[in-house]
Amino acid sequence: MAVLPWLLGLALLAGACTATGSPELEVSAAQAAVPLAGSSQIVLTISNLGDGDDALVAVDTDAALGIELHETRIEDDRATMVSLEQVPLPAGETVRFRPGGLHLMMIAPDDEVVLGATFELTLRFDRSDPITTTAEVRDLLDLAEDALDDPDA
Amino acid sequence: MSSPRSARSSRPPRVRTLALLLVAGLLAAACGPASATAIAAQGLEPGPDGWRGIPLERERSMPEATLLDTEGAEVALHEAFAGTPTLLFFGYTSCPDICPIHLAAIASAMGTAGVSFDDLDVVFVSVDPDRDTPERIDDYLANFSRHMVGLHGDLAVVEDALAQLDLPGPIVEGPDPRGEGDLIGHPAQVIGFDADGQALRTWPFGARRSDWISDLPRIVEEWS
Repeated sequence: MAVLPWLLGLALLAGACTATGSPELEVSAAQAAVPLAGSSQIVLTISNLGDGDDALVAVDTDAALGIELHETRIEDDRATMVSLEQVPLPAGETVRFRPGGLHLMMIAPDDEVVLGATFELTLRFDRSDPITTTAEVRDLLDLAEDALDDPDA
Repeated sequence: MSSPRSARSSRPPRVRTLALLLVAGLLAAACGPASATAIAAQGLEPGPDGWRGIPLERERSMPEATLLDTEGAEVALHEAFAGTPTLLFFGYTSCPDICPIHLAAIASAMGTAGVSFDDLDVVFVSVDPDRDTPERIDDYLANFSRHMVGLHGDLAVVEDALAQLDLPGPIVEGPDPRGEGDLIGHPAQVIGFDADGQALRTWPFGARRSDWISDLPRIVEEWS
């Protein structure tokens, strides 16, 4: 509706400021939580080692209906979740997907997404070529505790 | 206090506002520093008294509100959980991030700390009555512990309970990508009540298994 012009404007603006330099992306191995109530979240890290900005625009897998880019925000004691069109990957920065922040939400994971299983994810970017990584399925609490333990996070 | 109906009818402007905020956020992030990476969810700092849970500044007590358990029986919060310390959490079963981590951490820590559900009630109140059927709540809580109590009721009653605790009410955030309805905002913290129904401390998201292992035995010893 009235939002569409804004989105178009954003797309133009985002494109304008990412055009210089070259992104060089490095994607960590991924961990997915054992699904609960039809969804699961995936933890991973993307580092942009280059001198040009990029953005994560989509993540594909054969192991679920789809994967959404989400961010949990906690403000004034209230948790809300927003769905993102893309996640900026600025030059020289590392972006972490983990509980309580940016995360990849796996929608309706397949039956084979069980504790200990592995599956492939393909990440698609605004500028760089797609990158495929492997996700291991872990207990949600173990995954969350380890992700929150990370001192750099 | 808005009914579920009126909440629905006011949805388009809310969704539009959210989308505009989202666009504004993306705009800010597009060229700026990596604000997307910023999230602080370390373990809780122990207070001078050693507690990890955060003391409440204002007096609050167990809401006077009557909900239903998953077998359809009426449960008056201020009566049913008197006599035992209680951890109360408002969430929803489709909640993918905050809710299951809180509940899994509490369940795991209770086992490790040797705290029995006989001595501590753990209560989950759904803020999503449209989707959270009794069966769904039962199935969901079984992932953590069958001893957790799952409650539901009309949204107006849940909103009233939240208001009595001075907590933010549920808000509809827009379509759920699974096509099942809407994503919902809810309080991010667990609230702890003593056996007299006084709310004493809260545990925000970021409370770790170790925080609970530290606090749970004290809840039973000092709040019973």
